Amino acid sequence: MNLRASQFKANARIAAQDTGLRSKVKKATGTALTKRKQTVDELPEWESLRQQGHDIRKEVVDNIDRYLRSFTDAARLNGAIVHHANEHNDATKIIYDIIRRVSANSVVKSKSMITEELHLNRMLEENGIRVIETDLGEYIIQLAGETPSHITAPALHKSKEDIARLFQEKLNISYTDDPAVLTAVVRKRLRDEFLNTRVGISGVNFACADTGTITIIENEANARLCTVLPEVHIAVMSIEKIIPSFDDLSLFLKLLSCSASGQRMTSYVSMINGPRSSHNPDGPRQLHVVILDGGRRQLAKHPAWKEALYCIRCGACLNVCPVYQSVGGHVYGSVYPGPIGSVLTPTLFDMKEAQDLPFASSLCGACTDICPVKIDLHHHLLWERREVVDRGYKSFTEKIAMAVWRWMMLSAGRVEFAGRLGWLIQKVFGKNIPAPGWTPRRRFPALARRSFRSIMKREKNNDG
Amino acid sequence: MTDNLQSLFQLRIREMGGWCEIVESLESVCALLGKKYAFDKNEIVFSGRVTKLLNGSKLTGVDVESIHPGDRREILAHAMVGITTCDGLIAETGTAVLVNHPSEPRELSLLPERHIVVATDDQLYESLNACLSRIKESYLAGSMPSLTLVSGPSRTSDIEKTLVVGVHGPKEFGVVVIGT
Ligand code: SF4
Repeated sequence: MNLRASQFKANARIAAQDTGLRSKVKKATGTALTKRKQTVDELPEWESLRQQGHDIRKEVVDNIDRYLRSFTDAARLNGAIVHHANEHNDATKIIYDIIRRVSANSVVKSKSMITEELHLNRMLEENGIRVIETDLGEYIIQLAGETPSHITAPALHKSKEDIARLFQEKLNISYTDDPAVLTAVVRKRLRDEFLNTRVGISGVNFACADTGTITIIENEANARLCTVLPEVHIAVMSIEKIIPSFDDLSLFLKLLSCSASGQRMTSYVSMINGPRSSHNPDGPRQLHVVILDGGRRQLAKHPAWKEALYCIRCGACLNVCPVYQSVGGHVYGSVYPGPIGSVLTPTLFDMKEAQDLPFASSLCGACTDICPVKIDLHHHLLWERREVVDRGYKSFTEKIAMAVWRWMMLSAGRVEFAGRLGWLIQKVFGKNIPAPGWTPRRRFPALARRSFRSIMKREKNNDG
Repeated sequence: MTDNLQSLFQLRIREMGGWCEIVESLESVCALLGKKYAFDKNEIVFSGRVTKLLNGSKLTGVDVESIHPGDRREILAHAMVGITTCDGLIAETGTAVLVNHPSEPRELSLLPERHIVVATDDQLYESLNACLSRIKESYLAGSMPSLTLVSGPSRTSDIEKTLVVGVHGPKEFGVVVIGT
């Protein structure tokens, strides 16, 4: 498979037939949804929390420059070294330079979607720096030479047997598909890396504009190890990770933990307020915060599309999406799959390349209902469909077909006539009228002889 | 009220795979931990803040500050139990809030096989919000140290959503609350 967004249709066609993949993805997303529901059902205030979350995220995105300045000042006051990167390449170069300056040749890394967006691992490895992914899911993905298929559960598309075989082959251990044993193997292997690696890279979940606090949530403790033990900690974030105040943290921790893993709180939350100070016994001596714009400031100006920047990357919309459940994350050909990926990829990266993604939805609205910050995801998909059409990306035949359809639908008489004509054709040539692009995977509906409208009319006349 | 908060805290921490015991005296803390963890003295490490809280009661183990800084990481990585204090317990989530105090290195709650928190019942808050505001207020004059929220042992569900406890961090998390 050529995993590009432009190949979505072709790849989805293959993936939809892969029943093994589908059952793995269905099972994992189903478990995640059940756990989330149990927790949310016990929170009567959930709906009002979502609204608060939405309002605060809107406030930040609407005033992104002011909040960015305020966060930068506060973090610097805490002793962090803050770097701003306009383009993706700027960010990777800044990170590479920091690592070179301390002459390190390896880094331990915790899970971060923004570093995926930067393709950071590839760039660092091409320049001779070994990247050690330490989140269990990311470790598995790195070992397999793949990319994450989910934003919070990167190895969701792998069964325990897949992982057992992978470990057997790559780590030279005897076959076992016991998750506890596989996990213990990784713990043992990574311990020394944590203790001896001099640079740690992490993402950021929330950055507080008033106190300069960087917050990282996790369950495994690998992010704590990556941010406490090394001499240098590089935290990578995009501008929209900012929230106005430290006082907003408890709200967002709740929204994110519940939505991502159905926990009231994840096992660990690190709130980092600067590097090691003179009276502290441990912690990194240098804290770098690399903040990427990457087209987001531009997007924040768009009256509708800016909403996608409210996202807190919980992954719930992926879990609940019938399309994602059927084909998994890789076929989207984007760092961000699922509904939020379909919304964000065309507007943030490349609408032409990703023109099929807004159509990868049944518009059922389950994503909008589950989103903890109330992003109107399915309407965004609809608006982006219109944009794709307005930009003229659709084929000539489709344009003609749509024009004819529109012409027909604008008059009751023409609809009536077309219905009868269809009925007649089906009567003579059989039910399956071939319609390219439609009937190969769907059955043509049987048309009635008389329309509902005309039956109604007749009944009414009879009554009268 | 406090009783309700205590039982809610116990419930939540259990849901997350941790444990919480409520004891009545400083001596019972040492007795409880001594009974639970019959390890070599050198395999149990605690902070100066724990000794201070226990006010003279003898706890088996070594004070982290008595360890040479160059050896600390190695010793903690092989320790069976790390004992710390905390700056707040959150009933609604079963969380212990740890402020990065100078005498309590973050490695102490991170590297040993088990992490135990010793707290008093007046440190119990209903919500995380209340506790965080309190901490923020107390540092208004200077800059706030880093905080770590711990709500359970290290865990993962990355392999087929099967829960496995003890990935990279402590395999056990427990809280001993000293009640009045
Ligand atoms: S769009 Fe909403 S539901 Fe989807 S990942 Fe972002 S915050 Fe979660």
